[in-house]
Amino acid sequence: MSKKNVQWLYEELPGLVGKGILPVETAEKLRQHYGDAETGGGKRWAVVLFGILGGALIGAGVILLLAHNWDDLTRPVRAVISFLPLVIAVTLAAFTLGKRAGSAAWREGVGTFWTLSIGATISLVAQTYNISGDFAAFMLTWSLAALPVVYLLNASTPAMLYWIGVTTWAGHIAWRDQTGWWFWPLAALAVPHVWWVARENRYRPRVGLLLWVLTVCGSFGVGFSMQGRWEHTWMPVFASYYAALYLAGSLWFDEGRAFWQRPLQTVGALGVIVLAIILTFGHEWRRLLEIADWQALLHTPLVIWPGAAVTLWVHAWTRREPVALLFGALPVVVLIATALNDFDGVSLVLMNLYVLGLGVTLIALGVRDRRLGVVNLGMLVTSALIIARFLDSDLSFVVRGLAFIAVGIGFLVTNVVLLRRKGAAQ
Amino acid sequence: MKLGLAILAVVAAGQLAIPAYMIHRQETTLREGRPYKFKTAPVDPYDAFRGRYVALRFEQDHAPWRGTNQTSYRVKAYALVEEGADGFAVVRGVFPTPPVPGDYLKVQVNYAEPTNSVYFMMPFDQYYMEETQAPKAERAYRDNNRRTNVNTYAVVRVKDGYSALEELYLNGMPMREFLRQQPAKK
Repeated sequence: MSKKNVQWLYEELPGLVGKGILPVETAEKLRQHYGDAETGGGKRWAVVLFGILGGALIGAGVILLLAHNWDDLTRPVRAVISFLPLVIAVTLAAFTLGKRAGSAAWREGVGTFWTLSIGATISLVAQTYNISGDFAAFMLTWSLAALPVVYLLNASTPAMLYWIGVTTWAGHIAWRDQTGWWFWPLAALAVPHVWWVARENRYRPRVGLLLWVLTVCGSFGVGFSMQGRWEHTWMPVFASYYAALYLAGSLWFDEGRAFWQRPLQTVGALGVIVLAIILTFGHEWRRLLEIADWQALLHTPLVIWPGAAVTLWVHAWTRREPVALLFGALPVVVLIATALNDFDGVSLVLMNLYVLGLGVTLIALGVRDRRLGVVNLGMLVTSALIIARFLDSDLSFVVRGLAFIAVGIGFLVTNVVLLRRKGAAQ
Repeated sequence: MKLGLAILAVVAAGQLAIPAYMIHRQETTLREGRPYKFKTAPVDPYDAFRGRYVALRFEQDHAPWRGTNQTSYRVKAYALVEEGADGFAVVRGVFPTPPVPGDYLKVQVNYAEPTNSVYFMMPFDQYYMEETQAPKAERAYRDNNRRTNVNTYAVVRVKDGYSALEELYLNGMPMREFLRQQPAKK
């Protein structure tokens, strides 16, 4: 249970005991079970953030001071000074491990400084010797050298910097020699840290932040890993990636209330919605099917994403969660639409029905559960679909007009039903 | 905790080994490598002196391809370097594997022509300058430049495929010395 929930429980306990709902002994047992709910959560955050900022600023400041007098120094002196940021960082890390291992502020601050100092040292040596270098190789070397910092100091900022570094590397390498798919095994190297941090409480902000960075980096990674070799698989792979994200989030992070506690669901849902709306346009299908080769996907490492999406979707059926089933259905809908192979007709209608179904279901469930955020998301999806069709020059005015009238009638009827239901409840 | 510190020592040693190796390789090349003078091509001063470094372009950017199979963009290759009759370096050919004997540079193929000539990118194309010096260098280059007369070249030490840029010369003088002799801007 999150510390916020524990705090709420503790605030409720005296009232419940006073009204005789809970005996005093049970209240005491609850307090012993959940332990201390730290009330200074906000202050702890500030300390950690200041630690990270302080570490980053010190690192940048050292670099700038050195740069000012750089030209007057001889090459051997510059070479020695180049090591200073890294040596200072390692010394601080040893101090942190020895004396401040329990302080998140120290671990995160020193971890950030250590990560940045690795890049600074390599850059300073490159400047000293006029080494032009390969930017992609620099990013990969920096990222891999910084990876142990994550596990040594149990620090999450270095993990996020690592993923950003690996994504940057993949972006540069993808256009060059098509080995961008190495992004996935490289990104996976830092995933055990997420498991380690989440094992006590998966809803703590640190886990949310890690997953936000990982899922966004992963979105870029999907594109980079296809570049040059498997671009024709973008439709099933992207659809599977976002569907798998949503399904994984609904399976393992379903109790998060705030949207920032649900990065998998948020990024997954946004990805599914945007991709599905793109695929409601006929010319997108026609353009892609000219180069599509679905069977080729089976012979690439990217097949892991459709595999994950299908496995999680089948599992979602056992849990009978309609929203998860709908979002997770995108890869299956794409597959059916492709198999029907009628992109001026049935396949296109199927995609439009899918998006409409998604939007309407979100509205209905949001109204039922009184969750305004879900209602708004449903309205957004439906509105986006309406605007997309309104502007779609592939459809005739008559077809668009009739479709809009039908959907509009549907909304008005739903409105009347909801109002009557609300009136009856009151 | 002792285990943690021991692992930290191993990790730190690995991280420090990276710049140490870079320095060792460059120092070895600078000490033992043969110096070659590469003529730099006239460059637009605005583009050349942007930021913290001088962007170098070299007069020779292509040479005959000596491999049996066609090469392509971004492929790594090896340029055979010799000293020409005028004392400046010339690339005699580009090979798919290190040529023996002779000094060679690891280059990247930019473009392979059907006539079997390849355009390549030198591994040294940046000369770092302190930021406030770069505008001075730009002015000096412009003030002294008639494009056909500018005697600029880079001295590069070459050994076993590695290269180390030793100095950039403007009108036969090291760049920094040239700048020191320039009158201060009024």
